[in-house]
Amino acid sequence: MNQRSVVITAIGAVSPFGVGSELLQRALFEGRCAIRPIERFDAAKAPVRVAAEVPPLACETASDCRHARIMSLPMKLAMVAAGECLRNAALPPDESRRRACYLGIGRHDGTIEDFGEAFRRSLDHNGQFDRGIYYAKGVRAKHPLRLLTFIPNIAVTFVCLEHGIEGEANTFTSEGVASLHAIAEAAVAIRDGLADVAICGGTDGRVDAFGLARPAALGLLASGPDAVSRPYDRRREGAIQGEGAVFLVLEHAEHARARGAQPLAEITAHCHGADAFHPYRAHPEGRGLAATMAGVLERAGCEPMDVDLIVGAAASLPDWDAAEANAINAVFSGCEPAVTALAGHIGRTSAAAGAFGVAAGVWALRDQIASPVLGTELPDEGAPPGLVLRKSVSRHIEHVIVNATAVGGQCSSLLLRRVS
Amino acid sequence: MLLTVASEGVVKRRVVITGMGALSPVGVGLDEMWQGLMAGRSGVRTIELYDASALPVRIAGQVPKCDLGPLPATAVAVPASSRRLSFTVAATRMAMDDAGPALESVQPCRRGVSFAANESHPFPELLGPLYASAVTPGGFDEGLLMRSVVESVPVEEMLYQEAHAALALLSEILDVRGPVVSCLTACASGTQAIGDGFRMIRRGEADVCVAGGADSMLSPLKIPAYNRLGALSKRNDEPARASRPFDLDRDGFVLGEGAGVLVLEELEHALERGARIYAEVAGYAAYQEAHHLTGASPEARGPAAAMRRALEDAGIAPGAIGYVNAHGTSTPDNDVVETRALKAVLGSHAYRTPVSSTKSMMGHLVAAAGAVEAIVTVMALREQMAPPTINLERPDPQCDLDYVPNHARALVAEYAMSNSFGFGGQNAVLVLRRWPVAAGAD
Repeated sequence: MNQRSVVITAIGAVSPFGVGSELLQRALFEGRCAIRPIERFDAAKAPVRVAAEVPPLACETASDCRHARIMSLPMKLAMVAAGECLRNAALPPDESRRRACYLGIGRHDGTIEDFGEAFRRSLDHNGQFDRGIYYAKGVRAKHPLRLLTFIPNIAVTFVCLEHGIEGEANTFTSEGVASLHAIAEAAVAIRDGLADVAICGGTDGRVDAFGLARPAALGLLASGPDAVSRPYDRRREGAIQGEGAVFLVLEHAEHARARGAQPLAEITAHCHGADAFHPYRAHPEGRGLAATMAGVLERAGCEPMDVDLIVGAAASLPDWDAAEANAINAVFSGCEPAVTALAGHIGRTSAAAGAFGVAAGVWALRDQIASPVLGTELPDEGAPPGLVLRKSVSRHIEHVIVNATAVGGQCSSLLLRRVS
Repeated sequence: MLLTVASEGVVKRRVVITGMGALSPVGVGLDEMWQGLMAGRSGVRTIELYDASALPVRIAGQVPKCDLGPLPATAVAVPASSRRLSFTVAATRMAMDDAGPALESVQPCRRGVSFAANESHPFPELLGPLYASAVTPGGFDEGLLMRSVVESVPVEEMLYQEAHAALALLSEILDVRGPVVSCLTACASGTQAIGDGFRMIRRGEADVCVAGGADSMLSPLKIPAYNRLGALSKRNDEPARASRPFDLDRDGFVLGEGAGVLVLEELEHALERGARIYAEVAGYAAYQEAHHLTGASPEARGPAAAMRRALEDAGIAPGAIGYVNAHGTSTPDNDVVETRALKAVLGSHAYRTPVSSTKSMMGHLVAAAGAVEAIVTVMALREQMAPPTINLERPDPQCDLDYVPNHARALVAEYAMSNSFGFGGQNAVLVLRRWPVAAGAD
């Protein structure tokens, strides 16, 4: 590791296990599953009945923040994770305004909370919707500033206002790869000297009628009250929706050393790509992920043999999991790296998924433990041979690849290295 | 010399613009739009897309009715009703035709897309009955609502509502297998998408990148919401005079729609294939100011920092800027703050620099604004003409720069800036450099 290396020095998370990165880390290693019947709303008549929800108390942790009452759920989750992350980082006050903030965020198109009352007030005496009443009365139902929750970068604004951060910033909306885009951008900002410290991550919160409706309509979610999330398993029937937020602090190794911060892992390379194949189906060979995994190896000057663990994007989706397995088998033929995935624990966390994966990769490097692929008992015929099943295993881990994929075919890989 | 060497010896690749396509309220296609801007024509009209008579704001910048050409044959058909995707496809087609075989000349994994588009919202007419069917005495049956959404909204509508739908679509139809990135930062989105594409090529992750933004902000869900923020002009009776940046009687911005797509290309690659080069992307910066939820600090710290950093990135002094395409929204606050920021960054040179807001003619295209305005800025450099700020009749004493009032004017400019300052304190600035028109070309 040289002085210009980009290192991760702090993590903050809110997950279906609750508030706190430690809680998440323990649950991943211990192999606990957070998928339950939906409690946030009455899902009895819904086509999807289970999810990995962030518990209500954890969602409300942000309610002390200024502006909490106009925040959407993904914004609240981002605030909680960023808060823990920055507490853990214990950064000195920012005198030089050389900090950066990059976030990947998921849906931001409103919930029952946003529209429900407006539409309820727009019914005529027969209970039918009346657009005249909607414009006259309905639109007044909500606080005007609530509009801001429809503007994704306001999440970054909330975080920056709360913590006095100023500098380079961007907000990515590329669905399942959004948070890897954000983390990669932050790493480049540090590498290229655009900032001294970058906070970055992902957030998503979509366990509600509209948030679930889109993936359900596309046939991406497993239905039924007993649905199980089982990445790479031959009986997998679809994803289960998860949610949460993860933030990281990135800085130069030298910057971390100078302020006495302990690096957790190094980010050595990223590579973004795309299947360019179908609006929501995976290319059978996983050509996008094959290219991004080969890409990070090439950029970091590594061989396939050097990779000890892959945190897969597999989310219990019939075509996507098979595609990723094919890509892994093609790139790592004869190497057999350990392969894990988080969707068995916390479902498909969409825009936050890449950030969750990076957190898992960091802990694997720090503790030299690979967490299991939960819910998977009968690996698919083509599943990667190195799947970690049932329980965590201790092993030597020097390099980790984290994958992410988006509905729409974008994919991304990040290479993490152990800090000795 | 084709490569600039940064201080630490890192070779920086240079990025040029080799194709452009645009649709805006002022015109469809580069030529029509540019002629409209030169003539000072407003594209703001009473909303014709739907019956807006019940809305408090009934005016918008609408893309004129026209044949946008066929939608691509994709595995899931793009709904013709999706204006922002129709615009995306049409503007991309124009840009690709304009650029010649730029994408075709590189491997799919060396191609990139960087695009900004909003989520689209169903009309209240569609959502209302769905909600009505799920009302219970105590609230809503959300499970039932979800079921009715899944059962009654067509799959393609659901798929293409997502913010990254435009991105996925472009990746699919252009066979782009390199970086495919979408950002969304309110009014700064289009500028950031171009900035991201620029950086993607500069740092060697792609050789050609299709960059831009598309938006249609005319939805009857959005207009009342923006109106409640107090951001919109209510000059319903005089649509063409509603957007009046820097004028004393300005009362807010006008929502609009459109798309701008640029083909960004690594310089040597462009030269090798003999491409026509419009301009160079010389510098870019984005800066988040932590001051206030919706407004910039009175001292314009964020906008000024974004401009300074973009100039620094381009390696030029403020005095080298010969034209500024302003954010210029026509809101009381923005125009004063932006003027202050320009003076802080350019010093006395600010008074000698033509600054115009083409939002005076187009309205605010939000996620597409930065992209279309970057195209306008490129055209200003190429033609050495500054488009006007129309409706500037009674100058605001706090806005005392040269805003090119009401009439286009000849320009001498080597470098120009395009400013975009988004809600939430997100500021982004591009610095563009004129490319000499080859002798005998055009």
